[in-house]
Amino acid sequence: MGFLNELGRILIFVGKILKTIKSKSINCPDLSRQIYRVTIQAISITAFSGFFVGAIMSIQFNSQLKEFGALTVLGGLATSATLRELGPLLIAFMLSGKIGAYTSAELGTMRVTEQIDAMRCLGTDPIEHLVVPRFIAIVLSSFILLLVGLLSSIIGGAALGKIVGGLSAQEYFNAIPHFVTGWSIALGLFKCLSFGILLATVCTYKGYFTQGGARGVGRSVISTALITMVGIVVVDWFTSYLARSLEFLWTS
Amino acid sequence: MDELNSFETYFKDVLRRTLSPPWRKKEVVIQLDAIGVQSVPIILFSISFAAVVTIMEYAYHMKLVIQTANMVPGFAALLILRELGCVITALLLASKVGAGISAEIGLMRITEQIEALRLLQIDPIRLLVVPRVLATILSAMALTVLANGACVFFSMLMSISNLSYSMGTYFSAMNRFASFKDLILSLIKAAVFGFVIPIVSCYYGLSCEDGAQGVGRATTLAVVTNAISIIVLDFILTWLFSHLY
Amino acid sequence: MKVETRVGLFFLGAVITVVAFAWLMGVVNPFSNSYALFVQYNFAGGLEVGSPVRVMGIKVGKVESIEFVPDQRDQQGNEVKLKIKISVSKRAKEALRGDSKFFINLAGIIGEKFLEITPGSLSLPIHEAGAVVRGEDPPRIDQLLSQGYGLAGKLLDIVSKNEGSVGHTIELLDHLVTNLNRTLVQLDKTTKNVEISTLLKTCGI
Repeated sequence: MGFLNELGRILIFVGKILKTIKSKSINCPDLSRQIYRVTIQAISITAFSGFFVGAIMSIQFNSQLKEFGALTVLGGLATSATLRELGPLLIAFMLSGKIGAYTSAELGTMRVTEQIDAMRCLGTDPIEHLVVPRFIAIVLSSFILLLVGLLSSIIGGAALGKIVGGLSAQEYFNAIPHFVTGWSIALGLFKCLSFGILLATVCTYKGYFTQGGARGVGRSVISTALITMVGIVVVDWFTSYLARSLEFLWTS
Repeated sequence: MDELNSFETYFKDVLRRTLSPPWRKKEVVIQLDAIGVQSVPIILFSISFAAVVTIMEYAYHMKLVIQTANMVPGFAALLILRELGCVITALLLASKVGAGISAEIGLMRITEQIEALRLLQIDPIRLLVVPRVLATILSAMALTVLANGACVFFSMLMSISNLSYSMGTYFSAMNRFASFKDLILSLIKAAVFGFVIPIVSCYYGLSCEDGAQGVGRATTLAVVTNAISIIVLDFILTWLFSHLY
Repeated sequence: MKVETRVGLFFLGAVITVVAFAWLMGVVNPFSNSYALFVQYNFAGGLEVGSPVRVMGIKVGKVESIEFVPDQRDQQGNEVKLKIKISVSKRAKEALRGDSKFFINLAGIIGEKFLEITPGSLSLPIHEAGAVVRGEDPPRIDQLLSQGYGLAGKLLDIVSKNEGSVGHTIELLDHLVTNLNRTLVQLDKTTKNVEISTLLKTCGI
């Protein structure tokens, strides 16, 4: 029961956000400031961890492909797997940590220090000014950050392909067009979008509705982290399944 | 630079106290429950989904490379044991446990409970940090084992239903590629991750700034630092282990 | 449930899972229902430790270890440099006799190598545990190929060096065949004539 209750509240919250986006004009300077902040905050760690993720995939596939003598496909395989699967997943995990925790902490602090109530008293709609810019910013930046993460994972993979597998960068990149289809790219992008929306919803919701002082803030951050994590895995499965069925229908 | 110095002293303190008795067994058990037992449902749930998706992706890629999905269980079992089981579990723990510990200890700090402990001549590191470190190391290992088991089980189910394998052929395929050594290596990885997460989280909790804002900041930093450390450590360990395969 | 009980169950579950893995991965085999045989080869063709061992196509064991023994000799006194230890399930013991052959085969196209044992005739004795037998070295595809290349090269040589006489021979053959054809046709006609004349004679013409 409690779960359905919560779900309902979340949906109502999202509904309010969407209505605000549609009807009122979006506060552009605020929005761009949010986008800037969110992206810049997360870009370095995304690039950093993307590099390592690509490297790890490269090492793992290297040992497996060596048995088959199919090393030349390493570039394509690792990139495809990262694009379709690991890329969105790991980057979403990163983002849920950095941005998710930060936003819910920020909004939560504002709530428990009664800033949000103060805003309402002064006639400003907190949803329009606080939540919506952050929501949109998070969705957009997940996209951008995914691309950054992907690029750096390709570089990381290529680097390790050279070191561990003795592949030249040329060989690595050449294999990519054979494996990475338009569907793969679409899948990766779609996953990122879904994860972005999920993250934005959960962290703004939890932050906005924090209760109970400093302890409450801590609790909100933890809930955000947990729900996002589980949500990401479920959404991942769902989108994979969906994409596979679509792909299957399309090609047959 | 100031932070780095105090982290170093902090780290040495924790290390010294972890390796010498007394270990406050009661605290350790409480932490084991909070960190280990209560993470089981979330981790098993998430890992099963991840396993299913991995198998589906693997089958897709295999079909691209060698036109047949016959080798999928073997390769997938390999990836599960070497990477998925320990890393995803660790990332999940980094969030849940990392946020949890840093929030908990951060709260104690701003309500001045840590100061109170010191006044009472109780060593906060021994009381708070060490049990969590021990508990997380053990829990991470146990959770990784359970996660690996669940993953293998689910990929077996998928192989039987989608790829027309039988239980026997699945295990032959798995054994052909993976070995018990891989499980042991994944346990080592889990122990390393389990060591890092509480140390980082407690550090941010203990150096938490005042107010709700401080707690929020501490938690965020803890989760992020944990996640990055896990990925970097995983890379280093994977590289090291690749020489042992 | 008390805290301690929960924690205990948790770790118990983990330990059970580890044991299950150990059993499934062949580390612990509480039922020792297999015995060892040693097979000697000079070429193993890609067989590895862990490769399956089959009798009449059914898997009964696996390759346990592969040893290099440079000074090893078989029963005829020839040098065999490899000693491969295999484990065979006891239920297949009765099938392996003195004249069983130990081949190394390839399973499928991108398959793996496995050791195939043919059953022997009932008259000969069973192999006991620890027996040493000489296996059939698998064909060396690479050698075959290089020999094939050699042969093809030689053929090409002959043809190119003796192009004239080869052409001549072919011409002669052609003539021969044409002549043979004509002769046969004649013979046919003659036979037919003889038949008709006999027929006519019989009819009294």
